[in-house]
Amino acid sequence: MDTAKLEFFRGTLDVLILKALVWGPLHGYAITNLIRRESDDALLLEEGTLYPALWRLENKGLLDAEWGHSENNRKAKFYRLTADGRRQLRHEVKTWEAYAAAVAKVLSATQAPLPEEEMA
Amino acid sequence: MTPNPLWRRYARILGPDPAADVKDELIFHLQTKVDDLVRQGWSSDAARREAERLFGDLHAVQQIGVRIGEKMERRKRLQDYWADSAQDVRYTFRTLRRDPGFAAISILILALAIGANIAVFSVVNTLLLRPLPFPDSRQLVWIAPRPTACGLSCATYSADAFEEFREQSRVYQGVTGYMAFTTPDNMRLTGRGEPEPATSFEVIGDFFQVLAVQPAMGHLFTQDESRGPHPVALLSNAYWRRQFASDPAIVGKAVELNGTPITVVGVLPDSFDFGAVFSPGAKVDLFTPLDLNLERDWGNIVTLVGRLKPGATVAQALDDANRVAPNMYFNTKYPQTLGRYKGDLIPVPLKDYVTGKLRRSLIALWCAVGAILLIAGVNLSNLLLARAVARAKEFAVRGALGASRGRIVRQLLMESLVLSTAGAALGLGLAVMLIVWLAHQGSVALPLLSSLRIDGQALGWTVLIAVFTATIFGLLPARSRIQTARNS
Repeated sequence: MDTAKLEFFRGTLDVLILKALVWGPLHGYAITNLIRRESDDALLLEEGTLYPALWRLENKGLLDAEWGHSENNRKAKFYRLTADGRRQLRHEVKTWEAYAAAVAKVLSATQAPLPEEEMA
Repeated sequence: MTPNPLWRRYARILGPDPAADVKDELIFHLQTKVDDLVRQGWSSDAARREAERLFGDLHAVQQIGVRIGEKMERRKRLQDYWADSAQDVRYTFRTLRRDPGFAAISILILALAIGANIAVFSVVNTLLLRPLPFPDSRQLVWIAPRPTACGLSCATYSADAFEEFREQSRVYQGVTGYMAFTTPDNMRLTGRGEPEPATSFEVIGDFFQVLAVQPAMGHLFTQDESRGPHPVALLSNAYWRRQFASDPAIVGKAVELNGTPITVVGVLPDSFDFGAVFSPGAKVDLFTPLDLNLERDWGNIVTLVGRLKPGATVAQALDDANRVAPNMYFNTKYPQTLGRYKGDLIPVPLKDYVTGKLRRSLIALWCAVGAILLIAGVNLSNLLLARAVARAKEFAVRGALGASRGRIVRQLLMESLVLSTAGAALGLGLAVMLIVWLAHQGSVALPLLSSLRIDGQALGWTVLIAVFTATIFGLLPARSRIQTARNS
């Protein structure tokens, strides 16, 4: 994977993490499961890459972390969206939708370009 | 500032450890994964390998985690520190407002002590530390015999001796001087209605050239003017402004002194204050060239000022003077006066001459105001101590609520810092007033007084003093707090 793709992936992962936390605090393992499940196993990520992304988001103040107990009663670190995180998510989602729509529109074009555009 | 979330306080009970946190988090992930896989029918060994494969580079992730964790920890600690400091400051203002009498008296005491210190420092700085207001002023030397009881008559030289010295000395770019025996208001400015007294100084023609003073208008005395039959004068800037209403066309005009018309050839710059440097307390209105030929039989009348060649030292100048002295006549008409000045030509840096007499008293004064500051600090220390005793209950409560000893000491230091900062600010105001007043006292016989001012150095000194006082008088009560805390 070259760097450009990695960067793209990283940004995408950030927004997926933010989205995963919309319904409440989760630990890292639950986040990976949620992303895999919600994408119908289409988005397979190397599970280790999730954590640096989580820590970066925490460092930026988009996430807050707290130690608690997991459902199998182990000590786990739970992440929670901060107000900034929520704002960031809304912004990212809008940007993503506009981007995706634009790309989709171009890719789904069915007509040849207009003649005057060809001249120019 | 937002308060710390509770979990952050909890996390500190055992001290923060980013590395352990990262490890715990990743171990949880892997173990949960293994559990899930085992539940799906994997053998535990295979499940562990699969979990690690799915995770990727565990070591690299762990390193990134530790790095980010440490960064966040540092930032949190800094935030906590500032949040606590801000709290201390707010708390200080609250407690001081509750006791305005104490606050007012402490600030006033400090303001007086600190103000005196700043003012004296400014005087010391002007007189002892800053160079004289001439270009390359380190090259300037004052040449005179050792001080004796007979005063100026023994500190000056005859016209003949002056000329011999100037011709034979080799270490100087220029040797000049002025007529030492001038009384205030020795002239009358006439021809403009009521005669007005004026003080005129006679200087050797190249006096200003040797000092490297540039005229504000017109020109300095030329060689011809120094000797010529036409009387000329240079006006001091203050006199030009006062007596001639800053007449921009004064150069070339004639003024009448004691009934004799004298042509004004130039006006000296505002920065040049003859009295301030050479004759403290004197105001000089105008300068005329000294004609040595008229003074040959008047004995010792001129002072000697020289500008050393670049690189020449005062020690070399002394050697040179000792070489020249035996060839100098008191009066060339009387050969028996040859060598009268042997051992009586001692060059010293002009700066030392100007401030030398004051050096010891100034340093004594400086020490005195320093002692005053110390006394003020100790007194305040006592006041604070008394207050601290009265506030023992408050400290006990704070301690019981979890304030560490360090935190309480910091609180006390913060209080003294706030007090001394306020005192320093007020003191600076007092010092500025004092300095401005002093600088305009022409009659106070201190050299260089007119160049007195509060500058960056004085401000730096203020900050230094404030912090120093705060530490001294804040630390003493804080120390005793610690001791009482230990004893109880």
